[in-house]
Amino acid sequence: MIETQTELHKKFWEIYSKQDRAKVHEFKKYMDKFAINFNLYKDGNFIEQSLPFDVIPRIIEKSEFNKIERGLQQRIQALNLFLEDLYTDAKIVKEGVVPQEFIEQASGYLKEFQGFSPSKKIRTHINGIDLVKDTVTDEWIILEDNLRVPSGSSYPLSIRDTYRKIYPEFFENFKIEPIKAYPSYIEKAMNYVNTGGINVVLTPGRYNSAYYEHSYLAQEVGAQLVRAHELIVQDKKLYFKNYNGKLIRVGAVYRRLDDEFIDPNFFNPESLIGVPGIIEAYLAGNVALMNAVGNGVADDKGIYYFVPKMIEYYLGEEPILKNAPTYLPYFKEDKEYIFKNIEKLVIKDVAEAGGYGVLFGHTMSELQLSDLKALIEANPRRFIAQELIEFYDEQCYFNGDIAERKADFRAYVIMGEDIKVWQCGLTRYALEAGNYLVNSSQGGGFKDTWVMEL
Amino acid sequence: MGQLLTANSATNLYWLGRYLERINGLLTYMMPVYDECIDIDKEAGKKLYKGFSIEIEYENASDFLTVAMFGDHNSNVAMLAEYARENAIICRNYINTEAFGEVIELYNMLQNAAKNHHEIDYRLINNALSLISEIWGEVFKVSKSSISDHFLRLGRLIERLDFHLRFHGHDEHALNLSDQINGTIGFLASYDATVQEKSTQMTMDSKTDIIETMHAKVQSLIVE
Repeated sequence: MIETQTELHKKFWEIYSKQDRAKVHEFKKYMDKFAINFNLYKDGNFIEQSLPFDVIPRIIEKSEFNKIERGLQQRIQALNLFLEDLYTDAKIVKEGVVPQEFIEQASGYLKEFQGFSPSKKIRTHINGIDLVKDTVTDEWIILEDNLRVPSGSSYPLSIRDTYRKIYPEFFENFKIEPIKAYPSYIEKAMNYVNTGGINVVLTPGRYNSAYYEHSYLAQEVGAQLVRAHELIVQDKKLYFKNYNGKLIRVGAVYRRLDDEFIDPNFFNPESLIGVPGIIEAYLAGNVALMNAVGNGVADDKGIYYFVPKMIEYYLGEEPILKNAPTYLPYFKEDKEYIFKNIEKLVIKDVAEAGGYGVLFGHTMSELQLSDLKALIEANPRRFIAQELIEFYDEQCYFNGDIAERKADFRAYVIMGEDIKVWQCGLTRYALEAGNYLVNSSQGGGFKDTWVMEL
Repeated sequence: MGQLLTANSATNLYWLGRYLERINGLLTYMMPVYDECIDIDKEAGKKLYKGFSIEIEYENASDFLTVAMFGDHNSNVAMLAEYARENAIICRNYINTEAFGEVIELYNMLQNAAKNHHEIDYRLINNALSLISEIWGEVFKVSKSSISDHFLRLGRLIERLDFHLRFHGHDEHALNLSDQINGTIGFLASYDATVQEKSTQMTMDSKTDIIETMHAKVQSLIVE
């Protein structure tokens, strides 16, 4: 089911009907030529492939996006306040808004960082918030907060220029929000928290799934792209090793690897992609890490349940954007509801990401549901249950035909001196009809997103 | 502060320059040798590859092209293009976007040709040479070269000198190339006084040592 077609949609299709469809192949050629890839490991093999791209953009009216923007700014502000509070005074826990037990069992919570406050008290620098538009309420619903290392922004950024070259008529006839400012938002956020020195993007390396993005963003942000061994910590300060042996002080790191790998001295001693001593430099206040270490607690699927309460607690406001109705088996009442309605709910394993660990009750057999209930009973904190949101499909172009596919929307929110919401985002669609999983790691494709008006 | 660059990126850029020039040199020599195989001496291809200490076997002139491009030896052009691509991907943020795209296109074109051997002819060679010219055109079209461009250029010059010494010996042109290499090394070393001192201490004792000496100079520029 697609959303009600507005004047914008009608005009889009009017222009679309006059376009040369053969030129659609130019996008794939462009992505192949410039190796705009999302890499995967399959059966132990490294596969370089371009993300499937659909030429029909998601259209969001500017007035509608304005509400999304306000809602996201509100949410990120509250999440940042939550993290700062949690790792310092923990008032929200002391006052019982979020149960202590819930925090302690969140895999992303790092009690070793209790008492540490990062540069400018900012922790949620670069965020990816996943939303869908509900067919029942016609409202945008938040599905997930990604406050650690959200990826995907480089794909629409890369494709937009090509779109303008291949089909300029759309851009001549609509007021489509320009999107090139995104890297400058990151650059400004980096400069704002920078503790003195250059900015770098830390990548796990060429065989990471998003290496293209790391390289692209480093170039656009004006930061050095580095691997772990190209940085060194001396006297609790982080340095970039220049080719001629000179050491250059680093003030901010946009790290593209998870907490557990970032410093073998502090976390996983077997990590080859981390920088030994970087956490010591971070804790000494000598370098800013983006995003902050320990953010995983806030994008834990169990903590997601409490985000509307955080907005009320910290900002004294009603949430502008709602969560999907969520139940925690940790609470007795919720567990009873879940067990009673499990066949119509979506069950998520809080430890998983990227579309993994998501189970749809309606697709499971009696035996599977019974096994799942036993798992939930044994470890209620490990799962959440959500009502299945029937979200709108997007129209997609498949070999000359138009077909409808489930699609979500990842919005990017950058927090520095102020909170910026990128006037674009990553619309991800499922390749198969009826599939609700749109993640790139699950084989989903992407679309450009046009925030626009007539 | 000049352009910052990691040792890895400097090395990747240098080798990207070398591989591109190696492909260029091989392809440039290939067509005249192909003609020679037809008109004068069927063994001409074998003699060319002896210059690289590689022994190849082929049936005829067309087969020579196939073996030269895709044969089981370490000057296989498709393999060199893969190495070039790998280096380009790792240091892509230092390369002109169009030039990067042409490197990928060169690799894709040769991979496709490797799958369809009937396509291996003068057109493929000409297309590959055109792409390489475009790559260098994109790299050098900027009015002021950056440090990363100089590493790329250094690789190209050293490979060119290597080719020249193998087939023409240590003549006037080799000296000219050596001067250009020393100029580029001097420019890069000027960012570091220690390296500059080390670089100027090196001399070229004999023509067989020239490439090793040049390579050692490059290594002295890059501190891992």
